[in-house]
Amino acid sequence: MAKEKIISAIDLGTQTVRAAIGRLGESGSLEVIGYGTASSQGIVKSRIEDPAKAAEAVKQAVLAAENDVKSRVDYTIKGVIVTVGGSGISSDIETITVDNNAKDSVITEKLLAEIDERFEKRFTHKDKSPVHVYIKDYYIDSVRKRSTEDVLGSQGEKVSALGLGILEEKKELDKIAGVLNASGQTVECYCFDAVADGWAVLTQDQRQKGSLVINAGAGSTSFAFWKDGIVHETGNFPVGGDHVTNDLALGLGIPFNLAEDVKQNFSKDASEIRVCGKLYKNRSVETIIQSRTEETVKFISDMIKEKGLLTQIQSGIFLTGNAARSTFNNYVRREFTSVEIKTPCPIVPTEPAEEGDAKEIKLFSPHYGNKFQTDPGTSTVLGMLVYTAQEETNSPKRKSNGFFNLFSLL
Amino acid sequence: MKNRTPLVKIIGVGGCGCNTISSIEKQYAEKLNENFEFYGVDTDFISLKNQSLKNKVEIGSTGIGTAKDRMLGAQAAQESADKLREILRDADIVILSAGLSGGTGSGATGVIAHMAASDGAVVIASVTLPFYYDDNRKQESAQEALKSIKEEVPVVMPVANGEGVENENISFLEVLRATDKNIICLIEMINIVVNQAGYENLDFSEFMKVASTSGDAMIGIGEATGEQSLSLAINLARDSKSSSLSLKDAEKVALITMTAPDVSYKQIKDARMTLQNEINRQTEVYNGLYVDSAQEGAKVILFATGINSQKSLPHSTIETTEAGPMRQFDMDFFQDEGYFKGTDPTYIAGINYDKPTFIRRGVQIEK
Repeated sequence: MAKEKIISAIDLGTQTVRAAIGRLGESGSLEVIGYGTASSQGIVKSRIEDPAKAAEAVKQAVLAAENDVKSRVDYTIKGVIVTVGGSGISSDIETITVDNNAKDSVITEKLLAEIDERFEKRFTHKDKSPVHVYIKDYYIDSVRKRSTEDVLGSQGEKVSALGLGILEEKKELDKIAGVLNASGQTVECYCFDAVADGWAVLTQDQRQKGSLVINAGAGSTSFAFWKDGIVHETGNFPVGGDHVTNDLALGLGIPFNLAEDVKQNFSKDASEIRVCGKLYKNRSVETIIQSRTEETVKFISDMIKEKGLLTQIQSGIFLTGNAARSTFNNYVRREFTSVEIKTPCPIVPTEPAEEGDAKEIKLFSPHYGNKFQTDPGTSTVLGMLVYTAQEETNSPKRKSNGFFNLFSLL
Repeated sequence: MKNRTPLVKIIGVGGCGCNTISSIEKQYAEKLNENFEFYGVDTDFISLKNQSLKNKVEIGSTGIGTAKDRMLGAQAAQESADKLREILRDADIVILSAGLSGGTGSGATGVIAHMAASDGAVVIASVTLPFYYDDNRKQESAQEALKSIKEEVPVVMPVANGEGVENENISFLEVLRATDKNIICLIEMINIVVNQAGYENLDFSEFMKVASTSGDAMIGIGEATGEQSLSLAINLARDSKSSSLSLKDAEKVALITMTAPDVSYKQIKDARMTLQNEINRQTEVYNGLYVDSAQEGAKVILFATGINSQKSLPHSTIETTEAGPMRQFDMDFFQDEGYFKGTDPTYIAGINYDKPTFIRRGVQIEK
């Protein structure tokens, strides 16, 4: 690993664009040294609707982060890792089998790299590209192996791999790249929002044991299921907090911005909600919020059950995103009664962790007090810093550790 | 698909599926343009060899079938993924036919559907369930297979062997062949949509809209002569479907009508009213009217999709408030998507999730 490296990430959120800058130290410590935000523009339902406005919001967030970092280091953001999410995201599971032609039948890095290449081709469709690829299991001559370590160096004539591809529409990736270019940036890598969150809010142990991260954002609701240190399943419902606001706007006959205030001020205990001097019946507001939130949680729950994940969640469900602390939280608790529900913020202590596993990235920041520890909306941008930094510590580097497009784009 | 006739691939999977497609190919291949291709896919080398099909693909490595194990059927399809991708290449519509009593059709159909859908094709599966008198193990296994196929194929036409048979003295073979009807109707409908211009045109994109609506599907054909031939044909088409699914539950319906040139306005009007009475108010109907001087009386093909879609009509578990019924101007207002107007609507399984949930669920709001 290089002595010190500075990395940057941009979360293209529907409500807020966030930019973060991190300094990766030798021991795997990752210090957040710059942070900036801007109100999102031109992004609706986690998709870019107006590229010019979105580029303007990115410029503002980058400028804010660069001004913030100035006192610590002379740095200008150029290449970034950026989020993807919304309706174009999908996942796919495929199997690849290769013959091992080595005379001694020993499985080498080269053979595993060939499997990666074949997954790349398999997951590349005419209108979609892989953003992440994870190998869930290997089979050597039909015997299951759990990790690369178990496979490398062992002997076998036929190696099969079961891989998860997280895919995004090519046209959306092009749009994102266009927006970033227009704001003076280059995309180095893409990252699915729920995957990024897992890097920020889960401990290494939780990523091993079986944890479900649900990102409840303004534009969409997505999830990633972690086990054995990798992502095993993902899902996405392109409906988020803005849909609740829109339902309120239409139901109460008020403008969208005012409906957002009504939503923020909603409390189960009051009989009426006063916003801008006007009273709204709590019962009506609750009914509208309830029907939308209940539907969203049910949709996500059905996906989780269909994928057979419920029984595998050992460490709990982790709710991230801005909507995580709203009524969404209550409905998730009601839907998943047998699982522990947590609403974590990014794990960002103010002091660097003591020496530990050099391969584990340890995020910290002495500069922002408890800002990140109290804001679940920062999980995605900080998680992307960890995601990129993690790859720096991996040796050898493998596409199928989830860092697929780092290789494709760098 | 760019400026070419849509390519339709009709694939029989497993012994039952291959029998069906083989029989259809014999009867229809010569009458169809080259944009219809027929294939048989099986794990049983001997069975496949004996099929008259022009295009045969053996999957898996044993050549001896799957002993009714659907996992082996799925595995065989995965193993032969490259061969299957080759036959699926460039397809716009893939029609799969399989029986769910064995292993190959039950296991490989979902895998093939997944590959086809990944390449952008619309996939429709016609699957045959066991006879009602077959043993429980067979019934349960078929239901499990159907469930797993539905996870991969948005549009499934399930038909139970022997369902709808009124005259029990007809030959057993005829009962088995009754399940071919779904695919024959579908081919006929696509052939008209793709190759003929109508007075009222049902274009390919409209057909694809209907064909890609998730849920169970049904198709029926009816032909009649006389004064009320059209209405009668619609009723016959409704009743000819080889399953117990109801038109009332359909989200979308495509209706192809072929008549003689002298069809009256009244006949068209009566026929459309007949259909309106059979469907739900929310059902979207796509009509195609084709005039053929050789047609005696009227012939209709009716294709309904989105039936029993789990997400099609979500029912509220919350109580409605005591507010009175909505007034008309309220309802018009809610047709607007508000903040999301002008963006691509969020359609999943035929539902536009940008529209407020409380409206879709019919929940009244106190103002």
